[in-house]
Amino acid sequence: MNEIREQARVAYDRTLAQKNLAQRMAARMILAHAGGLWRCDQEFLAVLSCYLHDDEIVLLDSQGIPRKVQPLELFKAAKARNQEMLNEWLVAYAELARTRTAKDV
Amino acid sequence: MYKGACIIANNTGDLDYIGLAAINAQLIRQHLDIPVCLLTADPGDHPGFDHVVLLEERPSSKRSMIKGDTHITYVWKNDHRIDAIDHSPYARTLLLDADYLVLSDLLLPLLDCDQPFMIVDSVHDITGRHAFAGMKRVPDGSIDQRWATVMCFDKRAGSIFDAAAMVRRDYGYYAAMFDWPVKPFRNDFAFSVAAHLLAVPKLPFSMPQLPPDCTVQADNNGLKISHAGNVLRWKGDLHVLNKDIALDPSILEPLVGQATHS
Repeated sequence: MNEIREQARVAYDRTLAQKNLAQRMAARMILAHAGGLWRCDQEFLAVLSCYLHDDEIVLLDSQGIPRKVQPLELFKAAKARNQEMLNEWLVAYAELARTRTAKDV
Repeated sequence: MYKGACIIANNTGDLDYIGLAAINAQLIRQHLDIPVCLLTADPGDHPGFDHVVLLEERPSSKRSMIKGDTHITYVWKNDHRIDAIDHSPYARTLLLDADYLVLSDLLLPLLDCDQPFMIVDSVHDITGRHAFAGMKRVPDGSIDQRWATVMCFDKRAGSIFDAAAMVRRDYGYYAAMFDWPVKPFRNDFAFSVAAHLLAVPKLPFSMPQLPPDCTVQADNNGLKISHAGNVLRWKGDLHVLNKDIALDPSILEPLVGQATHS
C-alpha cells in the first residue's frame, strides 16, 4: 500500500521531458569545420544551399567569427550531422511518447 | 599526444572524487574516444587513467552543499585548475570537473575547432525550475558568469590562464570589486574575469546542470533523476551538483559500457 501511495505522489512532466530532449538534440547539432563551430539546423542548411555553386565563400560561424569555407563540402558535412541528430531525436521522441506516467520512467 | 581530456580530482573526507573521475574516464573514452589524464595532489596509485600527473598541494577552503533534507560541509580542494595549462600532457585539452558526466559526443566539436580557449558561458536546469537563472552574471551584475566546469584550450591560451591566476593571486580585491564572497575560491569567477578581459567568444550551446537537491540513480537506460516529487529520465551529458555520486561513485557504474545514445 505504501508503495502505491508513494508512486501516486511522484509526478512525471512530459512537457519538460520533450523540452529537455529538444535542447539536448539542438546542442548536439554542432559541427566543427574549417576551424569553426557550426549549428547544422534547417536554417543553416538553407543558407548554405544558396552557395553550392561557389568554390569559396565567407560565413559567420555559430560563435560569430567569419570563416572562409568551401560551401559544398560544408553542406555535405552539415546535412549528414543534421540527419544523424534528427534520426536520434525521432527515436527518442517516440520513446517519450510511450512514457506516460512516473512508473514508466 | 594531440587531443585528450584532463580531470582534476582530489579526495576530501568522505568524497571520493578520484573514484568518480575514474568512472568518468571510462565514459569519456567510450563517448569521445580520447585519452584521459588525472591531475591530482593525492599521491598514490590511481588506476583507470591513461596518464596521472601529481600536482603540489594548494590552499583549500570549506564548502557546504545541500544533501537531501540536510547539508554537508567538506574541504574543497579546487585551486589547481588555473595550473592545468602547464600540466596537461595534451596539445589540445578538454578540462572537466569530475562531476561533469560525459554521456554523449556533445563536447567533441570543441576539440576540433581552432579557438585557443573555450569555456561554458550558460547553463540550464534540467528539472525546469530555473535554479541557475540568477547566475547569468557575477554577483554584482557587471560581467557574464562563465562556468569552469568545462573548458577546452591549447597552449596558445596562456594569457587567459595568466589573467585567471591574477584574479586568484588578489582574490580579496576582486571579491570586493565584483561582490562575491572572499571564501571559498571559485574558479568560475576567476575565469569569468579572464574571459571578460580577453573577450572569449561564447559557446553555441548551454551546459545541462542538475541542482544539488536532486537524487540520481543510474541504470542501463541512463540516469533517473528525482526532484521535489517529480521524476525524469536523462540520457546526455550532465553536470551533477549532488554529492551522492562523489560519496559513492559506484552508483554510476551501470552507465559504463552502454551504447552511445542521445
